[in-house]
Amino acid sequence: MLFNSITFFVFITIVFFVFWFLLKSVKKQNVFVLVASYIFYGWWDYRFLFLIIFSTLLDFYLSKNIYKSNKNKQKKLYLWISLIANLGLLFVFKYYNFFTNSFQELFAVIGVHLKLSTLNIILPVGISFYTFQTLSYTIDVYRDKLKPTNDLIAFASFVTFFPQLVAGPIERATNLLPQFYQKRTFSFEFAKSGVQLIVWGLFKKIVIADSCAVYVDYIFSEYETQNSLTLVLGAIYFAFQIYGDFSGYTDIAIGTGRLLGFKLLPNFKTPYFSRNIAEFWRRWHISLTTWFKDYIYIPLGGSRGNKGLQLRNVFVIFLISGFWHGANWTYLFWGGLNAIYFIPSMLLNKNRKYTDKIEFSGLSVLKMIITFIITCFAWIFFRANSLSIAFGYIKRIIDFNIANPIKYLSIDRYNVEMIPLIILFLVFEYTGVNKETPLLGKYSYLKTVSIVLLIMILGVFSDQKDFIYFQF
Amino acid sequence: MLIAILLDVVYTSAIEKTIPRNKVRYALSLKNKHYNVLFLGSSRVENSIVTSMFKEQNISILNMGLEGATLGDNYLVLQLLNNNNVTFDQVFIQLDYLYNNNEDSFSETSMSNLMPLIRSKQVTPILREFDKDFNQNYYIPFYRYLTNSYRIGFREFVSSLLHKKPRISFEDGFTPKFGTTKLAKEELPKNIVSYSKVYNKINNTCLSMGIEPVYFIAPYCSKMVDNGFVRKLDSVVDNFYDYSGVVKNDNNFYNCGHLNNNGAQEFTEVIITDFFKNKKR
Repeated sequence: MLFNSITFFVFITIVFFVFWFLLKSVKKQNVFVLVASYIFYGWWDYRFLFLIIFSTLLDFYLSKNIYKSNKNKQKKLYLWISLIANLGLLFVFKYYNFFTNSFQELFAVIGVHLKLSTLNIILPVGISFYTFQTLSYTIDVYRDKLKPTNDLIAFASFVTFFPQLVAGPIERATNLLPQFYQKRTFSFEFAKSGVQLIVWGLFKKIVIADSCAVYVDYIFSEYETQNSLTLVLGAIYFAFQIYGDFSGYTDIAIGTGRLLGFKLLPNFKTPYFSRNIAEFWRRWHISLTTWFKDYIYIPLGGSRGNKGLQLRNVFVIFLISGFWHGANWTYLFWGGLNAIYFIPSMLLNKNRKYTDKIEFSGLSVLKMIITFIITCFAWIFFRANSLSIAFGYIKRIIDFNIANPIKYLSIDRYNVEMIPLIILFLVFEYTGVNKETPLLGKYSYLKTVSIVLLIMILGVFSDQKDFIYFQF
Repeated sequence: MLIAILLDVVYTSAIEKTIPRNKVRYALSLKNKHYNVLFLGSSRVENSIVTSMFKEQNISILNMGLEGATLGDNYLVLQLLNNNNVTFDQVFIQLDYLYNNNEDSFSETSMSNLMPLIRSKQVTPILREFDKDFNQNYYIPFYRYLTNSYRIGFREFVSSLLHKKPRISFEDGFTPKFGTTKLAKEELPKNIVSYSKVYNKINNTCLSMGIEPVYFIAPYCSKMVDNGFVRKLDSVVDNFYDYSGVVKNDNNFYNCGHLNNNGAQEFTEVIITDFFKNKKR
């Protein structure tokens, strides 16, 4: 069930009315949210529901045992069971074929031809997201940061909460779980802000991301016949496609949560206005970045220790982040590239610069442009199907084939046609900087209606696309 | 809802009043005309039949090859022309793996191009018969523009408003391709359907127009794997001509299924020689 589908519109309308007008007790509302979440997920493939239910039950009971145990050894054992079971499932579904194929290729280089069997399975939607969410709960209980819940329904609802189940934000139990115990009263203002977030998210997805996708899909598949400008535009369009797609999803998720009275964690804060790569990572996919920081980077030592250890920790974190996105060398390379971008500011102790609000002075804008350019360069690796394609793509850019830069593409559009729309989007983003959405503030009704109109006029409805992050 | 109604009216009037911006609309606009030759098919006709070479021989021609066309699209164009009393001496129809496509429907492109005219007398019965979402498209304002936004959305609306000419002249109908890209292997199906519904409809329409159509398979590059399909096609289709291997030089292909400009000229010359100089028929 896609957020940008009629089915979801009908679904959320029914859920909203039943949740607020037919069910009065918190317990009943939680059961209803759980059932709605299972229906939402089962709409894709009901067979994978058992994975979520298994993961839910496992972490619910293991966390209780961790809490009850007096011996450290026992606590550790339960934690390891959780880690192995959750990450094991993730490994089998997401990484097994990648490792098998990579081993075969590696041995083929030295003339040994292994015949390892691969699994003919599809990746369950959102497995990386809910696995990390349940793991964070168990680890927090192990670290005595959280008392385990005795309410299985509340816990299951926390794990499967449908607005953020398949593509985040990756919630922390400390934020979301207590909201399943509280008595809820309907707040019109809160729900209104939710609707505004949904509208803004739909604009990002249907107008920006899906329009860019038309060009990106074509340019990346036909890169060998494109000129340099088209290829540069392909990378820029992808930057906006992935941002519009993922942050659009997040906005709709957070907005949907608000319709039901839940406050989810923020995930994006106008990342393309970042002034260095460290700031970019504080503004992009925040829930994943903070997850890695809290559960991997800091336990590894973080920025403590000598420079060598710091470098190691940075590389580990970025490589894992890359690998989290998908079982492909392109994602690993993308992660490594971001580590390389990050290192200079870390060595110069400037990685914590720009934690303040965004300002648009001349020098700041120049830094934003530079950060955006290197980010786009890294996105080429993220988008390409293989490393050889990514390098081929970059090689063709630096061939400087600049004769007739404005080109009519086989998709019946000029290569530069998206530029006005992207500028319009950046203007909207600029007006919404340091705010939750550009629709807030003065004339919010007028702005919301205008965006609805723009969605109707400029939206891509004929070629409805899945959200990119569903595959992760 | 008010916005949707308003947008529907504005879009429809802009698109209705503009010059035809696609071949389907062009076919609709032609009335009471006569051409010597009509070519129907996919982009393998659009990119392959050089109309100017026919005109040099004083043969009037309409190249109605449509990119991504199915047999259903060819049938649609033929019907529209027939309904508008556009007549021909000869009709050439490209047939290949599309023969196996038994779906009695048009491609998305043709369907989209007809959508703005859903309420016109000419188009309503056609869409009522073939469009699965006819009721939504007909009764919900602006719905058809949303669901077909790629082809008849805002971009098309602005182009229509500005009376922007299409990139290709439909009077010519030929769109050349230039250069050669990677020639990947193309494979024809191993099996042929026992009965092709749309082929039979096309055949019957041509016969009702008093024309015995010529069916042909357009050229493929040397990497094409035939799988015996052409022979099977020849055995089930009357008046069939195999031109799949007529262009020998792979440099005359844009890709394996499409000729470039040089290849198109070579192929057109063969057709003109066979049918108009040597009067093969």
